[in-house]
Amino acid sequence: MYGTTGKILRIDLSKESYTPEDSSPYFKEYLGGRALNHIVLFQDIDVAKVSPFDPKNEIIFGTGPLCGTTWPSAGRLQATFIAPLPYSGWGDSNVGGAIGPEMKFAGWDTVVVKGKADKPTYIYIEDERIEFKSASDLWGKGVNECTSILRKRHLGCQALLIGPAGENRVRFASVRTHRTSSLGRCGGGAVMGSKNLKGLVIKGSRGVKIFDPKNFLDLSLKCQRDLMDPDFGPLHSQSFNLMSRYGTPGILRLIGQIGMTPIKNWSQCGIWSDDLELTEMMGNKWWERQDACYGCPVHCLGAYRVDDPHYASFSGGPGYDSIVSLGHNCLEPRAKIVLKLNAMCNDLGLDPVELGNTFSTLMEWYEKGVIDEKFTDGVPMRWGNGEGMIELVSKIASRKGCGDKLAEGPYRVGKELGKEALKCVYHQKGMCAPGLETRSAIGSMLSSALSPRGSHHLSGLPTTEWINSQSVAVRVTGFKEAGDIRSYHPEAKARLVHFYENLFELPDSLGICKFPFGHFGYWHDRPKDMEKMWDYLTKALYYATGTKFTKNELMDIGERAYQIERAAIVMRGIRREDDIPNWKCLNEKCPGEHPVGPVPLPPIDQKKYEKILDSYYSLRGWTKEGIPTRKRLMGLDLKEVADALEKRILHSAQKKPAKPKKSSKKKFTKRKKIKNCRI
Amino acid sequence: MEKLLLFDVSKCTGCRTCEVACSLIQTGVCNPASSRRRTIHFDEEILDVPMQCQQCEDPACMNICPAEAIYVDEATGAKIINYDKCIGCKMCEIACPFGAISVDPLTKTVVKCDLCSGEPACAHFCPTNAIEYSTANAYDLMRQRERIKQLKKMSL
Repeated sequence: MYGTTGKILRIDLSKESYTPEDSSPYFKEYLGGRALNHIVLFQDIDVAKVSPFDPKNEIIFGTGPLCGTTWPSAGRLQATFIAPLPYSGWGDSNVGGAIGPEMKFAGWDTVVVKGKADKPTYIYIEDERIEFKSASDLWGKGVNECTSILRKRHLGCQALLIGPAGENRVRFASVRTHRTSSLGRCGGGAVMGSKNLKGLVIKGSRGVKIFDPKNFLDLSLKCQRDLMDPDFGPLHSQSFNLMSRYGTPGILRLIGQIGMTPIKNWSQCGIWSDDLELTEMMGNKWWERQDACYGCPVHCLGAYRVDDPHYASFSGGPGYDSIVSLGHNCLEPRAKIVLKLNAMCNDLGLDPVELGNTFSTLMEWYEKGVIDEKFTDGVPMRWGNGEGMIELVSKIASRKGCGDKLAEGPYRVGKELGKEALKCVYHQKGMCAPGLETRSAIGSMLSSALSPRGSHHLSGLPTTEWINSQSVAVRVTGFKEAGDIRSYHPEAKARLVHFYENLFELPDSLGICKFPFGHFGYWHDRPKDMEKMWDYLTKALYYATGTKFTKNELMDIGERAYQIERAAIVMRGIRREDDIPNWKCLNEKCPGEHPVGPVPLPPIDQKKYEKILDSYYSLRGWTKEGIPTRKRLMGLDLKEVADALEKRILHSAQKKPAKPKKSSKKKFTKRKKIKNCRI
Repeated sequence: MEKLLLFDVSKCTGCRTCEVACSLIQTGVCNPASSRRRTIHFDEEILDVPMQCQQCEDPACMNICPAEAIYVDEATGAKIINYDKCIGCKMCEIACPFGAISVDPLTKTVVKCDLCSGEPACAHFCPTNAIEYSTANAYDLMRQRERIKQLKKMSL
C-alpha cells in the first residue's frame, strides 16, 4: 500500500502477545488516525460498559496516510480510549513530536494495546520485532529521566511515556513524548498506568511508500511555500507568522481582543493588563530556542530554562492553553511560576489545562468560603498563590494527602462538595475547558458543549464567526448570520458548527497538524480559499496513496467519525442535557476588557441556544434527545454502530420506562426534510 | 565557485523535513533511516544539530576506498559513489569523520549525499533556511552581516 502501511498491530499485555492485522479494508471509509481509531474501538470493546481502568479497555494509537511524509506538519498521532476524566467516557487526544511518523516508519499505521501487564512494562517496537521489556527500573521516575535512559538504551528511538501521575492513575494524567509534546487531555496516561504500561519505544526503518513521489514532493514544497507566503492569503500568513515567531503564547492578545481569553476562573474575560510576562513568553530572558514537531514549518514550540534558584526549570514551553489555565485563570502573572508549573507537569505527566482548572476552581471555592486551608493540607488557595500551586502539583501526581482527592479532577471534587461548588466548575461532560471563553462566541459555545470528549475547542473551531467573514459564512452555511459572533440564528450556527466539526476530523485522520492545516484549512480569507484547500488535500492524498477522494467523500469520513463518537457516548448515557452549557455560561455575566463584543458578556440565552441545538440535531440526524437515528447511521454504512446503539437504548429503556422515546422520534421524522449542509 | 551545503545550527528547529525530503527524492520512500543526512536530537538539551556530508576537499572516504568507487562530480564537486565499482566494504563509513556515510537499511548499500545533482532537496525544503546551498563566500558574508546586526542590537 502507498501512503499508509496498511497494518494494525494488536498488542495484548495480559498475554504478552501481538498480532498484525490488515487495515486496508478500512481505508476508503475511514482513512486512518482518528476515524479509524473510532471504529476500531467501537468494534473491539463494549463501549457502553467498559470502564476506563478495566483491562478490557483499549488505548489505540493511530496515524493517518499523510503522517510521516514530506507534507507540511505531517507528524501527528491520535490516541483513542475510554477515558477516566470526562464522564462521557470518550477519550481522544492528539500529539505531535516525532512518535507518529516513527510508528509508520516501523511499518505500523495503528497500534492497539489492550489487557494489563503483571508488572511494569514498556513495549519496544523495532520494525517487525515487538518486545515486552521490564520497566521496573523506570517506574516512579519522571518522564525526562526515563526518556534519557531509553534513548541511550535504544539509540535513535522515539519514546511515548507516562510519568508518575499516570502510574498513580491521576484522572488527568498525560502521555509525553519528545520533551515538548503530550497526549494531554482526557487522562490517557492514567489508562496506560492502569495497564502497567510505562510507554511505547519505537524505532523504524521501513519507511512510507509514496504512490507518485515526484508530484508529491512538488506539491508538498508548494504547499509549504504557500503557507509562508503573504500573497497566498493575508489572514493565514499573518497567523502563520505570529505562531512561527512567538509560538502559541503570541496569540494571547489576539484571542483576548475578541473576549475569548478567560481570567480568574472564567469570571472575567478579554485582555488582562497584568499578563505582559505571559504574552511575551517566547523571546523572554528564559527562552532558549524554538523547536518543531516532525516536518513542521511553523515551529510553535519553545525551550525555556529558568535559572532563578527558587523556580529553576528546564522544559519545552507552555502553549496558549497551558498559560491561560495556569496563569490567567489563577491570576498568576509571573512567567517563571507558569514555566515551573508547566515543567513539573511535563516531567510528572500531568495535563496542565486540567491542573490549572483544578487550581483556579479551588481558588474560587476558597474565596467563596466553600473550602478552607484544611482542604488543601494547609495551603491557602488565594488568587495568584503560585508557590501554593507548585506545592500541590507533586501531591496530586503522587496522590498523597489532599492530592488524592484533587487527582480526581475539579468536576468530581465539585460534585462531592455539593451543588454550589459544582457551579464554579467550568466544564462540559466532566472535562474543564482550555483557554477559550465561549460566552463570547455562540458557535464556539455550541461546539464546546457538544464535543464528545468534554469541553474543548478542537472538535470544531468555527473560526468564520471569530473573524466575521460573511462571504465565507455564506459559502459554508448559506447564511450571513453564521459570520456574526453573537448571532443565535439556529440554522446558520448549527450548519457552521456541523461543517467545522466534520472538517476537523480530517487532519486528525490524515495525521497532520491542525495549525498549518488551519492556516489554509480554516482561516479562510475568501470563499475561493476553500476550493484551494480541497484541491491541495485531494491531490496530496492521491499522490501519496494512489486513491482518489472527492471533497464530499472526505467530509463523509468526518461525519462518520463524529457519529461513531456520538453513538458511543450516547451508549454511555449522554443525552441532550449534557449538551447544555455549564452553569457559569448560563447564569453569570462575564465582565472584562475587549474591543469586540458586548461588555460584560451576557450569559448564554438557553432558549435560543436550545433552538440551535434542535437545528443541529436534525442536521446530524439525531432525535430530540440527541440520539443518532438508525436511518442516518445506515446512510453512512454504520450498521454495526446502529445495531449496538439500538440494543443499548432498548436495554436502558426497559430499565427506565419513563423516557418518552416515541414522541421524540415522531418529531424527528417531521424534521427530516432539512437539507444537508453545503460544503 | 562551487556551491556548498551549509547550515546554521541556531536556525534549526529539529523538524527533520530535510531528512524525509532527502529520503523521498533519493529512494521514493519517506524513510529518514535511509536519508543521506541526519538531524540529531539531543533530548536532554532540547537541541537539534543537522549532520551531513561536508564534501571535503581531501575526502577520507575517497582516499580509503579500496575499489576507487568514489569520484568527484565535475559540475557540483560532490563526492559520489559509483555502485558498479562499490564492493560494500563500508570502509568509507568508518573513515568519515562526520559519520555522514551510512548504510541504507532497505538496500543494505552505503549511501551518501550527492547534492541531488545540484538541486539539493534538503535546502529547498528547509522551512527556516537553516540549510542553504550557496557558495561559501556568499554564505560567510551573509553570516557576518547577521552577526553584525545582532551585535548592533546588543550595543543599542
